[in-house]
Amino acid sequence: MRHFFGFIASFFFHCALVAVALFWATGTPVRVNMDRPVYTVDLVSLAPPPPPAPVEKVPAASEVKPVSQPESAAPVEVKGDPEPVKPVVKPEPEKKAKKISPKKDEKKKVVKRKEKPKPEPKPKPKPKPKPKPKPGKTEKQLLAEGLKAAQKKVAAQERRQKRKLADELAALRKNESGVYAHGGQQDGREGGVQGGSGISGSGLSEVYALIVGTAIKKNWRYPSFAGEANIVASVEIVLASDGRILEYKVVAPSGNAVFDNSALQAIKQTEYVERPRTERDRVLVINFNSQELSE
Amino acid sequence: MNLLPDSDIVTLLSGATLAVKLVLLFLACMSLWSWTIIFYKFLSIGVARRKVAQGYDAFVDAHDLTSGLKALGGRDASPLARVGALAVKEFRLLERAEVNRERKRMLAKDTLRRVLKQGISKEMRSLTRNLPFLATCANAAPFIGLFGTVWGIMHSFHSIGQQQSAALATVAPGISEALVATAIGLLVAIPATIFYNYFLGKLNEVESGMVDFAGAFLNRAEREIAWAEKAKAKN
Repeated sequence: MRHFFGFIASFFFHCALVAVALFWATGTPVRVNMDRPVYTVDLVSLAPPPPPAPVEKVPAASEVKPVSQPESAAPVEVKGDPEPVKPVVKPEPEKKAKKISPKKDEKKKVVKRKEKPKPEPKPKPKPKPKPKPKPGKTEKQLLAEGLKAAQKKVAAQERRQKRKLADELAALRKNESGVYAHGGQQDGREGGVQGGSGISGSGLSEVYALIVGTAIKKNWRYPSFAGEANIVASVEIVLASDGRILEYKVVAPSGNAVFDNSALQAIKQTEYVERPRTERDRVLVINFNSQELSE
Repeated sequence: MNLLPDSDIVTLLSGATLAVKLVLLFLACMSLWSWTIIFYKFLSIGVARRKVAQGYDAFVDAHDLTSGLKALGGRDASPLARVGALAVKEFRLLERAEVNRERKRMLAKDTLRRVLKQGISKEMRSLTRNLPFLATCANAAPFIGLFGTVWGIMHSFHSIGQQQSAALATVAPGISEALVATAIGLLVAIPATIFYNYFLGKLNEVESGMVDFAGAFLNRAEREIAWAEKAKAKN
């Protein structure tokens, strides 16, 4: 009888204990969510955020494909930027600049950039675009003329302003020497470059490049005693939209063939990396620095 | 109060590997049973202790052996009554035995002592029954929990190997399983240890109370029996 009582008491005691554990002990508000992605911040190699709209690129020829573009985070970011200045460049924006509000302009630039990784700044297009808009107003000749004059003036001003900005940007860029801002230092780290010379840039692309670089370097084997030498090889990789590595080639050999091969081997072994979010991310340059091995 | 079902413990338990779940289940059963014993022994040992103390006083205060035994109450009332009843029964058997009277007198002392001793150990046996389980819980539960710990950590390392990532997110679930198993093992072991020692102390009290009673009983019996024998002899 007492035994039975003991069992019942024990049972209720445990029920109470479990209830307390479930309902009371969980009241603590601070909880760590382990499912969240982990962001690695590299304080040393992370350059200051790149200029919002990188720019130069594509000639006017490539029109607007804003709609077709799969929305990627990068373009949005750029749009969002309250940059008054379109850092870069030149021509294209102008063409439509008049008609369109500055915002759109930015958008177009971004889009274009994505599509065509070729960094060829072409100032030519400017003149063309202008004339187009004007013709529409032929009806009132006088007015049109007046308008044209005014517009020309404005355009000239804008052009001047832009050129100035472009110069500044070019100067800046020189310093950065064309690698993604994120690990952009020559001596190190991975960076993606569009077409080779343009800086491109949003932070997300840098992060993507970092992710890809980290994934590839997991497979990188090279005797770590070489770490003292500080040699760097840059390898350009082309990704398929599903993240498969289609091509890779050494763009800046380190001078040490074995070292270059080890980097290529690492890429070959990796085969797949995280899916690029935008077309622009499909071409990346990864820098392999022997210093990283000793870290 | 957070009544959401995604509470930590539920999440942890549902994410645990089968081995850890089994360990936890086993620990839960141990805990249930050890607390059953704790409650039961708490009652039975407490009652026995009180009755032994009361019975001893009543016996000592009584005028003679018979009234002393009566003061102890019925057979079920007190452990002392059962011990006394055993002794009286043995004495009656001895009285009826076909042995020479002188010899009987000599025998009575030893027989009574043995019988009282047996009675006490019988009572103690019933009081200590199941206590070894508490001792087992106290010693084994931490190790069983530790087994869960080891298993959880093994699982963590396995995850590291599989996912090729040593990120906290990979390792954390296994480690938390492990920690839960250890914690529950300790949760079982600590009360078991505490109450085992507590009961041992109380049982010592009970035992010494009964030994006192046996001494008093023996003294009184020797006195009164000697007198009875003499009276018989005179007759």
